[in-house]
Amino acid sequence: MKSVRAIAEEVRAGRRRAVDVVHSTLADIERLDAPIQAVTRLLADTALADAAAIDAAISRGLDPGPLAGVPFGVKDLFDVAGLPTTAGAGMRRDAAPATSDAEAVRRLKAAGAILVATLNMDEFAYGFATVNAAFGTTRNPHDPARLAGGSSGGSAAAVAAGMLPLTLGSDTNGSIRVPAALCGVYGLKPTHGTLPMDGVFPFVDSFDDIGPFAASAADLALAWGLLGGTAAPVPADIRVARLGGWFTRNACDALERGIDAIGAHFGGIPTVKLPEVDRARSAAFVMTAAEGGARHLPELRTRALEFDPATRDRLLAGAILPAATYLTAQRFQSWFRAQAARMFADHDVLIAPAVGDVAPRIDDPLIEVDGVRVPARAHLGIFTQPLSFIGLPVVTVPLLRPGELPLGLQLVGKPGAEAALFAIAGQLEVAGLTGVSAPAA
Amino acid sequence: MADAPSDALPELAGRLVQLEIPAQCTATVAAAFALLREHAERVESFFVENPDAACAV
Repeated sequence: MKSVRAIAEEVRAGRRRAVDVVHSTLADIERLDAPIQAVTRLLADTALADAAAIDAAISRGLDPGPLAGVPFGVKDLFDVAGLPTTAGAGMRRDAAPATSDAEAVRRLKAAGAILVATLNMDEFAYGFATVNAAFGTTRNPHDPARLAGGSSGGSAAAVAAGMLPLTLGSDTNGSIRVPAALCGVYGLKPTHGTLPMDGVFPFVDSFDDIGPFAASAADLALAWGLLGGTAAPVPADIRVARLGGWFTRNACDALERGIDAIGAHFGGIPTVKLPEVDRARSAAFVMTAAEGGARHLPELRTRALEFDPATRDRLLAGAILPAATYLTAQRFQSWFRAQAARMFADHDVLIAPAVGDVAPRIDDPLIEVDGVRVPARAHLGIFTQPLSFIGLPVVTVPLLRPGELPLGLQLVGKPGAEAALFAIAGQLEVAGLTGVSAPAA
Repeated sequence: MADAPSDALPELAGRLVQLEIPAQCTATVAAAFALLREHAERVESFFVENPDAACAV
C-alpha cells in the first residue's frame, strides 16, 4: 500500500487517475477483507463517482486538494450521507439515513480524499475487542486467530491489512490506541475537544474524540492537520521521559526492551511516575458507565432486549449509579489533571506502553492484570484509560518488529502538544525503532 | 467480573424501576454494578486518605 502522500502526489500530478486508485482499492478489499471482516459497507458507486469528479477537476487544471484521490474509510459511528449510522448496533440497522456527512468526513472529502468503506466496531463503542454480535468479529491482520482490538478495530485492521491508507476512528478510553497497538499501525487520539465531533455518534462526552489511523507518522500528521488540528510550536529541545509505576507493572519484556532502545536513542531518558494512575482508571470506568448509561437511557427503557447483552448490562449498571459517585470521579479527575500538568512542566513527551502485550487470541480473550486473568474486552485499556481521562493527546506508534506480532507505544503530550508528538514519532521512525510491518502472507 | 451479593438484586431492581427501565435486574447486571462499585470505592477512598486534596472543578 502506498502512503497517503504518495497517492495524492501521483493523482495531483496526473500520473495516476483517482478512478484507478479506487478500482485498485476495491480489488484489495475484495481480496483481503474476507478473513479480517474490517469492512461493513463498501461504497463502490459513490467512491467511483467521487473519483471521477477528482479526475475531471485535474483535467480542467484544478487542484482537488492535498488528499487528491486518497481512499479512506470511517468507523461505523461517523455520519455518511444517505446511510444509517449504526454505531455498531444491530438495533440501528434501520435508523433513518444521515442527511449529511460528519464534519470530519466532509473535511477529508474537501481535501480530495474519497470515502470507500465504513468499518466495524464494538457496539456503541463500548469495548476494546471489536467482537460485535450484529456485525461480526474483526480479526487481526497479523494473525486472524487474534483480536484486532477495539472499539475502532475495523479502522486499525483496514490500514494494517493494506486495504486503506487512511481511516478514521474514535477514542473514549483507548478505542484508537488499543487497536492501533494490536494491529501495528499509527493512531492519534488528539487533545480532547480539538477535532470536530459533529455527525459522530456519541458515547461519553467527557472523553470522546475522533482521530486518524495511518501507516506512517507523516501521514497521520497530514490527516490531523486537514481535520482541523492545530498545535503549539515544537520546542527546540524536546524533553522525553518514560512513564514508570503503573505503566511498567503489566507490560511484557519486549515492550520494556523497546522503550529501553528508545531511551538509548535519546541518550538516556528519566523515568517519571504519575501518582494514583490506578484510581484514574477507576474514575474513568465510573464516568464512562454513568455517562454511557445516561446517553442510552431512552433505548434502555424501550428496546433493552435489542442491545448486545454484554453492552446492555454495563449500561444498565451505569444508569443506576448514584450521581454522587459520578461527581466524586469528576472531582478526582480535576486533581489528577493537576498532577499531570506538574509533570509536563519538566517533560514534553512521555512514553508508555499502549497495551501490555500482543493481541489476545479470539478463542481465549483474556489478559493478565496483576496476576489475574480478566476479560480483554473490558481491560485492554489499562494503559490508555488514565490518559484520555484527562484529555491528553497521544500518538500510538508501533515498535518495528518484522515477522512478529505488533506491540504499540503511546507518545503522550500535554494538551495541544500534538506537533511535538509527531516530531518524536518521525524521529523514531527514521531511526528504525518504530514503523509498520506488513502482515506475513 | 466482581461477584454481586444476591441480596443486592432487589435494591438494584428498584433503581431500574425508578428510572422506568423495564429490564430485569439479572445477576449479570448486578455483577456489572458490583464491579462499578469497586471502582467507585477506590476513587472515594482517595478522598478519605487525602481529605485536603485540592480539586478545583
